[in-house]
Amino acid sequence: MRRSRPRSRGRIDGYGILLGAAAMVLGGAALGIAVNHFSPRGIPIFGQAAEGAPGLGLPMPAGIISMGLEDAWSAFEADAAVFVDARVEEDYREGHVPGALNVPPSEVEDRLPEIAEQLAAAQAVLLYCHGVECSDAIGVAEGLLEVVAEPVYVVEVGIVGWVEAGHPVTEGAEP
Amino acid sequence: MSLSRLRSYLAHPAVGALCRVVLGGIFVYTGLPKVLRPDEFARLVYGYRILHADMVNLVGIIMPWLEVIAGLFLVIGILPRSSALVAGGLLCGFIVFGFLAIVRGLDISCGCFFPFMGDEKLGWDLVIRDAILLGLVGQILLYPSSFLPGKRRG
Repeated sequence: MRRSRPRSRGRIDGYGILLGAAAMVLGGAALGIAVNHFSPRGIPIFGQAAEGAPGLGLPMPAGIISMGLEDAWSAFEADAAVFVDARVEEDYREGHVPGALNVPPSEVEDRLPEIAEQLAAAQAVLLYCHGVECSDAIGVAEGLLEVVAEPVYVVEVGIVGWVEAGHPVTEGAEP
Repeated sequence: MSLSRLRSYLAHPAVGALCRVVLGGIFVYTGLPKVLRPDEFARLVYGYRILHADMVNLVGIIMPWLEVIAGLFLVIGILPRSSALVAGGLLCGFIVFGFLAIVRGLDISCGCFFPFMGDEKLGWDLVIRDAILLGLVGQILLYPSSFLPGKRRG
């Protein structure tokens, strides 16, 4: 009597699998670099460190300038700028730059008239979010450019860099 | 459940197809926005403070494409084992990066499902999620399947 053959999982061809994976990695890398080169949103392949900036050399949208922590602190001390915190309200309440307005990305559009009024007399507008890894400050800055004169500044090191430098923060929902 | 029965379940083509589509779908879903916004993704990578700043952009440019290609190949069933190996390598990288960031006490966004899930904070739950996905990689490596005719290995 013939017994049915158990289903085989097949011989694993380790060399072939590795070769295929290596080809995918090389092809993906080549494709990524090529697309990045021709893309309008392309970024430098190797970031160039800039003083006070995160060192990624990432391009900023038109009308927005990256500002280092030292310059931000100078503006704060001289009371020469209005700070805008682009994080959600919960994070803002836990600690923000004293005097900073809270404008999360989801609220920019609806609050533009109110924000325009609050920023009308500002010598400069400095935005920040959590840290270097977040882009919310840039997103909010783009929205604010509808009602605020260029340029606006983004402090890329965010509240994390601000706190690490020992600069003061205020807790609560009020600026 | 006996081991042999478990094996027969895992070897079932439907299970294989499900693993590939789920894992591949997640990789395409998470990889595409990163492909479209390399600058934002590079910032997220930098936030882990593991790579030298000079290398961050390169990773931000290449890694999303690997995610998308491996994901697409997995869904269709092109070189399923090689695709699973690439996906597994990426998942191991995510786990190591996440582990190192958490033990160093970094309070950062995961960037895993950006921008769909907004500011998703990095935590152990995300590391565990990646580890679970590694289980799908294991299934595909052991029992490769494909929607393409005649493709079972590679």
